[in-house]
Amino acid sequence: MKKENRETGIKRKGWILRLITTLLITVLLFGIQAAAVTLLPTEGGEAPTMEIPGESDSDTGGAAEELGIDATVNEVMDGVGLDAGAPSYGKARLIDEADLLSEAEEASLLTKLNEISERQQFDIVVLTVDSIGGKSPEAFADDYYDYNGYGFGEEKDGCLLLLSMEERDWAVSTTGYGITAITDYGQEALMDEVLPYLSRGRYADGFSLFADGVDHLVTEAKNGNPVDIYDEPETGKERGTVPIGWLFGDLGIGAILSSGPMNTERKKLRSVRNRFNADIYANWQGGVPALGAASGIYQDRYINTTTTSRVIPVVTHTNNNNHHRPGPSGGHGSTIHMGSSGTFHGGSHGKF
Amino acid sequence: MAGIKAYKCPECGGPLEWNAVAQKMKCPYCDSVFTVAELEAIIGTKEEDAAETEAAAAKEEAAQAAGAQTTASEGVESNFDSVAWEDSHEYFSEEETAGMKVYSCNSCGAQIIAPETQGAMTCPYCNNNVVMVGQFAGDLKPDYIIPFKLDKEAAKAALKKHVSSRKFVPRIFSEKNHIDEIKAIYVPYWLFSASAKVQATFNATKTKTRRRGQTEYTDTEHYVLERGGTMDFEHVPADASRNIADDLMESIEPFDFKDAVPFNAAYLAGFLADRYDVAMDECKQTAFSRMENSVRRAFNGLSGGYSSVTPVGYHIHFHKGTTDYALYPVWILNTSWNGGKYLFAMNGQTGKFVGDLPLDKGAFYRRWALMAAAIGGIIYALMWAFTWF
Repeated sequence: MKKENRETGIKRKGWILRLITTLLITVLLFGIQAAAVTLLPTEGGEAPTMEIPGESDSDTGGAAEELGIDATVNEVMDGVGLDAGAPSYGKARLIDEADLLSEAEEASLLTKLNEISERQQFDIVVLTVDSIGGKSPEAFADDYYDYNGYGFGEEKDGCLLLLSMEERDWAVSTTGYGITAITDYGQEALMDEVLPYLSRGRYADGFSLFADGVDHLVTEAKNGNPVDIYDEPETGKERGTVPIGWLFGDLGIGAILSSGPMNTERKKLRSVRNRFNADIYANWQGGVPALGAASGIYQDRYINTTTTSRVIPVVTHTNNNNHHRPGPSGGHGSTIHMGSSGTFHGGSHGKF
Repeated sequence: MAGIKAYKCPECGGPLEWNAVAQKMKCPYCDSVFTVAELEAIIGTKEEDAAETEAAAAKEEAAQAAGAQTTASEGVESNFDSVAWEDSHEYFSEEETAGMKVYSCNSCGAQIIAPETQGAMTCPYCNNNVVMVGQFAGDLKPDYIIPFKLDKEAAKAALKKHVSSRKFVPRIFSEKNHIDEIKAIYVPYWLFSASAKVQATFNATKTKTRRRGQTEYTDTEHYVLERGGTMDFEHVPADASRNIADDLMESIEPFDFKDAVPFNAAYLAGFLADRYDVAMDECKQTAFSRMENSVRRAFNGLSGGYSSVTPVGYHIHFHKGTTDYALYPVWILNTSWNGGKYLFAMNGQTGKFVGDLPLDKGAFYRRWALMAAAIGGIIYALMWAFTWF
């Protein structure tokens, strides 16, 4: 009989231990999955939406049209003494055809562009021209980028900023990883900062800011958090990941929550304590309300009332409106189109 | 020697012992059972007892006149010091104590009364050897005794249950506490009974708040509460042995006096007894504090409906006070483990078992860590699930 009890006792203990072990293994599996998700490189954001606007070239565009485009590009190329036909790696990343920058500024900016591009393996090109003729600034930027062989890797990762003085047009063209890193939202945010400089003629500062901005966008994208607009108002919270720091916080919470039952078990080990009253030996016959004070005294005597007062302070409420930056018609990612060379580009343009 | 016959079986002459299971005196040789009353009738020791009473009464009056000072707590007026405690006691005769001797422990000073034939014995309180030092005739004789109701098997089972029902006790402790050495011992107690007439006064308040416009008014009504009644205390025990810890003995309370019988030395046969060495006056203070606290606690429940209640003073008048000297049954086991001493006690009447147990720190912290990891892990996993959607 006693042996049975001991065995069932052990079985009961074992059951609890097994439950906890199972839970722990489940949790570990979660953890492994989570870690895998976090550490593998992510594309981030949603897949870019395809948009083929009417004015861009069709993929089967006629030779004449192609030539026409090429011609315009070639004119520009000849103007600066460069051969546009053959794509060549190592092409300068700063082409100041419109001569907006001083020698010193050019050198400084070029150094910056080269440094960032090499480090990020991502071409950042700045191009200024006097005029782009009748072409659309976007197409001009796309073609210039494509036909001059810019871009790292198979996807031709990079971007180009075009400034055309006569038309006061600017355009940004993104390619490859540039489409991912520089989303519509990112472009808008960046250009909002850069344009004031360009409008005021502070080109050196503006281009420098542009380069730094792209550097930042690419870095963020590589960390898995491309700068983009999100549905939730909170910023910086990537969907589907919980930082590992939370695990330690949770363990702390676990320790606190389990400290209650653990302490109860610990206290049970002590059973020796003094008795400071003799209740168990006492028999009270006293005035109690139930007995109607029959066998004792039970009397309440009212003395007086004292009154204090205080004025309640008025609480004012202030309304804090969070201003949300309106994004491109609620869309994520980058809008892309196909350039004349058949490569897809993202980008935007405007007047400065 | 009439006294010696008190312990001899009338049927076969064997040594009679109190049997807890049968709740009677039983002869281990012929299995005959007798109640103590039956034995007394057969042997007739009553005459001897009567002769003692007069001598005892005279002694006791003298002792009481020199009553010690006791201090009452703040806010309590009581006549505890001057209450006439009615007590009359007897003393052991030579015949009664024949066959039993006093043994003394050199290590802890305990004085244990045990059968003469005991031989080698270890002190129930500290496990060291004890030596016979003499007899105890002339000692104060108990008025009452509660004979053992639970035998050694019950005591061992209770100890096992006490240890196994608790977590994080080091395994070796459960195995090595030499459970067979658990000893049955009668512990001496002074019992105090009194009727207390109590009157108490309180200041009480009731607060109400009301609001007019932008101003909040707080009305505080002041009351004086009078409460009074009688509280009877029956046989509040205070242990009369210096060697045994008071908190251990208080932990195994309560003893139910209804099982108490008039004392007879026959009950001691086969058991150990602790020799009384704390005078009644010293125990008075402990008993008094306990009674006073009970009075306070009783009054706490009588002031409902007020926002705040503060006592102004208690007035307690004790009367009809009596004291008794009694032996109560206790099973005791002491263990040394890992440099610490652990004392276990079981109420020999009710079976209540107490004793502090050591903590296995390793097991404790390991389990805590495991629980924390499990809970933390679950929370973390839930957070992940949450962010997927």
